[in-house]
Amino acid sequence: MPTTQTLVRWFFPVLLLGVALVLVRLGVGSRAEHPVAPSRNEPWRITPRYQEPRVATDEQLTAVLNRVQPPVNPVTTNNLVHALRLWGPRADFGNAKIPTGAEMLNYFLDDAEFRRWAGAKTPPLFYRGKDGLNVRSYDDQATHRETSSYHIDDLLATLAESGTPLTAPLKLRGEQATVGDLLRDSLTRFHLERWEYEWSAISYARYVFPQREWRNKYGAEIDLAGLVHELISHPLDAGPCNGTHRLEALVVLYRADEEAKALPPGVKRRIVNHLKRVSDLLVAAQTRDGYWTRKWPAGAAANADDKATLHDQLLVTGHQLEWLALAPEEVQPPRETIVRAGQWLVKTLTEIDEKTLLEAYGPYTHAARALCLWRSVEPYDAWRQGREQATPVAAQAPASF
Amino acid sequence: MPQSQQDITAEPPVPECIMRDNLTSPYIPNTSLSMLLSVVSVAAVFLFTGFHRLNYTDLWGHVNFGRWMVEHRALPASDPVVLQPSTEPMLHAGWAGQTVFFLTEQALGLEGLSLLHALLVAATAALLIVAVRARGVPLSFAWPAGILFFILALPQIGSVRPQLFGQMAAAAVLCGCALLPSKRHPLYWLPIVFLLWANLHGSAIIGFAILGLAGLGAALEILFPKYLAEEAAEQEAPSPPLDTAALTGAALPFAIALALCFAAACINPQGPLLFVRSLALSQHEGVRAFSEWQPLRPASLTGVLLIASALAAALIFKHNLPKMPWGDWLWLALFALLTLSAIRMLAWWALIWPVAVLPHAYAVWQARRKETADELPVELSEEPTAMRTLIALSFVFMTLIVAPPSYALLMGEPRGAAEIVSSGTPLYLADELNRRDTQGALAAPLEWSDFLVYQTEGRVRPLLDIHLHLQSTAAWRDYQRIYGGDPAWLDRLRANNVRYFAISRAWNARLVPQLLAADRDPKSGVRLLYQDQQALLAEIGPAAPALAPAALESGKPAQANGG
Repeated sequence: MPTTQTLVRWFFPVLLLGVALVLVRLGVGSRAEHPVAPSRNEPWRITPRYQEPRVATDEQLTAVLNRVQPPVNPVTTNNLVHALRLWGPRADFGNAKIPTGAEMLNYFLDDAEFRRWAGAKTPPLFYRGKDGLNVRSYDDQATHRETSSYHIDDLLATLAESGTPLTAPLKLRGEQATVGDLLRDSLTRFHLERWEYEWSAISYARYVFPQREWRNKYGAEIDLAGLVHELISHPLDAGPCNGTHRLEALVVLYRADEEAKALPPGVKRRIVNHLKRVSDLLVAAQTRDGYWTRKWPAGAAANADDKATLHDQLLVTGHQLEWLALAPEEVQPPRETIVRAGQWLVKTLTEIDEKTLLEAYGPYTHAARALCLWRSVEPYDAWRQGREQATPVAAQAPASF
Repeated sequence: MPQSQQDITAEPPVPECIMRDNLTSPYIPNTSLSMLLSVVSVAAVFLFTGFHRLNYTDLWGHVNFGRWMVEHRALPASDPVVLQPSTEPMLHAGWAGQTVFFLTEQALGLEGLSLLHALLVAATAALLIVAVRARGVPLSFAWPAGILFFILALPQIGSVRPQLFGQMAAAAVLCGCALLPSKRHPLYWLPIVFLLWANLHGSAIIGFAILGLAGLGAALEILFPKYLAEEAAEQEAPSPPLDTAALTGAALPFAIALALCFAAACINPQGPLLFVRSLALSQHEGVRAFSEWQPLRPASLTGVLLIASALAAALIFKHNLPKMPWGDWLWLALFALLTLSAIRMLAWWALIWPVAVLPHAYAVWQARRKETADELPVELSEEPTAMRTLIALSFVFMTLIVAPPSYALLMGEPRGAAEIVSSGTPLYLADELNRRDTQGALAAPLEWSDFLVYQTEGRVRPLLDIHLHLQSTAAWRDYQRIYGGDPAWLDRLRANNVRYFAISRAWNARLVPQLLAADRDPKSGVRLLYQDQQALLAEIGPAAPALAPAALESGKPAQANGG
């Protein structure tokens, strides 16, 4: 039989270790969960900062804007995303066949409005899935793709750009949620292996920043530095729209930080250096006519690219001019570069045939928005002003959608 | 010299309050410095193993088999996971290990598997220290055995697989081999070790090799006591008569142990066939394709470790050659040859090496110490104290707090899967399969199949899984053609009734453009469902006979690329 002394000798280490571990368990608080918890209800507003009349005159703006009113025949979610983004929720075209800004916003916020435009039998745009609120994506089904979301988090980013607060109700089919629920569930699903993350980054920058990190549902911590690294580290032309939405996301983040002042200096420096590098490449890559092609990352080697389609030229030039309009002065190319690109966009958008324009309405709204941003005017205000003035140029026949 | 100057240069005396040992008492265990170092080394092995992430290789295949057996309370007659089970008979090597893995995962989640990994490796390290100690090496020289094992096994140690049970059992057998010449109790517990080993993992034959060679070595010590030809020639003395009693005394315990262990190990679902079929496993064409079953390359980490450890052993043996037992020679020769033939065998070499080499390193050190008594440090102070017990406990405590799986479980806050599984694991692809509630036939890279099956709880049936020895050669060749970018990949997928097709951007780079092109072609019947920076997932439908309006929809319109 073991003596008490022996038992104590054996028991002592186990007891001591056990007590120490219990004390740690009781003493150490829970690991930081880092949920998506925005400190603000309203998204950051990124306002234009330049007024450059040489990019597009008032008359030219009106002419361009006349051509990009919201198309609804057929109803395409991607087109309405772009239309709302361009025109904003205040828009009213005085035409019952053209949705107003409020109707476009409600297309996303209210399933009843969505069905009114997309059809009563169309599957809902938002639905409650296994891991929270989901958006019906382009790849989810082989049918009803035209009314689906084309890019991950593009709807959320558009709501943010439209100034929709997080408390705004989201009326689903049979239930109700808020934009905040959509944001939380979306960013909880976010991970850095995504193929497309540009709109997630924009949504984060507008709604969640200055919160610097959050933990996703897989247990990985997503932090600001990692997100910026992901936006910067890939080839320049990787990603949708020739990589330009990554630049937009960086600019939005940078501009939000001008108010929030929460970016670590190293991260901020990285963003500026990257944008400056792109800007320098754009100067070198600009063609004689003023546009850019998909080969812009090649710099001077791209300015003789004469095989690019008009679609590609418009897509790339419109997107590039758009992020540059919001970018800080220190990364700007010479104004001449901007003016040449702007004038090429004006000429092309006013001359392009209607069928071509309708086929790629989304990308072309970026071009129209870029022109307005460079004039520091809201597209709807510019269009209305032009209409009221009814100048000869503005009186050109608007596109009939 | 004045007194004051002497005081300045002299070492100040240590205050008595610090020197006094008030801890040591009959009620507190005392620990020697060697034991403290042993505890620290095993704790270090636990800690570093705990930092390993769960690899995507064969772990999930074993967990899947474990799930099936627990759910069906039976052993499968053929591979229960794959789409088209082959006629290859099932090899139930490791059924118990697979069940333990599944039950651990069920009880403690992924953290549990990670903890089990660390515990098994640490236990193996501890047993190796015991084995070296049992060979007459003082603990002050035996304690590095666990760390040496860990370093040598580095290329293999990161994988959680039933082989870890086998390695632990092998360490126990090494203990038994060291004790058998002088003790009889290994005859009682070694058969139990083999019984467990044969059911936990199919490598029990390694144990017979260890035990058999140790016995053979013991016999050779009697038969050829002067095995060095040069020494024998120098002595020119007639060979002494064979001491049959000594021979019997040396070899008999091993022979009895071998017989008992073999009988015990035959208690498994396959019986004695287990050992034959386990040997045949490595000859399967598909299995040989795995890098770990291929011959060792000197420039690899495994090659460097094997060569460096062999050179170190040679250096030590050079100074202790006359005392090298036959058994050690045989062990090292066999496992070096096995490692040369298949990288995976390094795991066994790493076990054998410390046990075979450390006793000789100790002997060399002892001899050198006698020669140069004043130059080499004296042995470690072995005075056990309670303070060292506290220090050892502190190390164990810190290890449990710092090692990720033990900390997570102690705190009741498991890390997420993204922090536990290795970076190549198709975590997000699996999540997408679950989000879509995907079920049915899936072709995926072999390394991913089992994880996808595990994550979808068996709803997807892969074309192949990691248990290639259970698949037909034809299926393996079909898989190779598909994932090698064969132009007829789509026809082959359809011929195998595959509905979902997953590929890796990194491993199947040739397939990526083909799959994307098929997605854009409305007639192909291929629809891309998901893609991330790691993987692409497509649905394989029937090829469209002609362009139909509905089919047109499957191509993402140009403006979809214009965000």
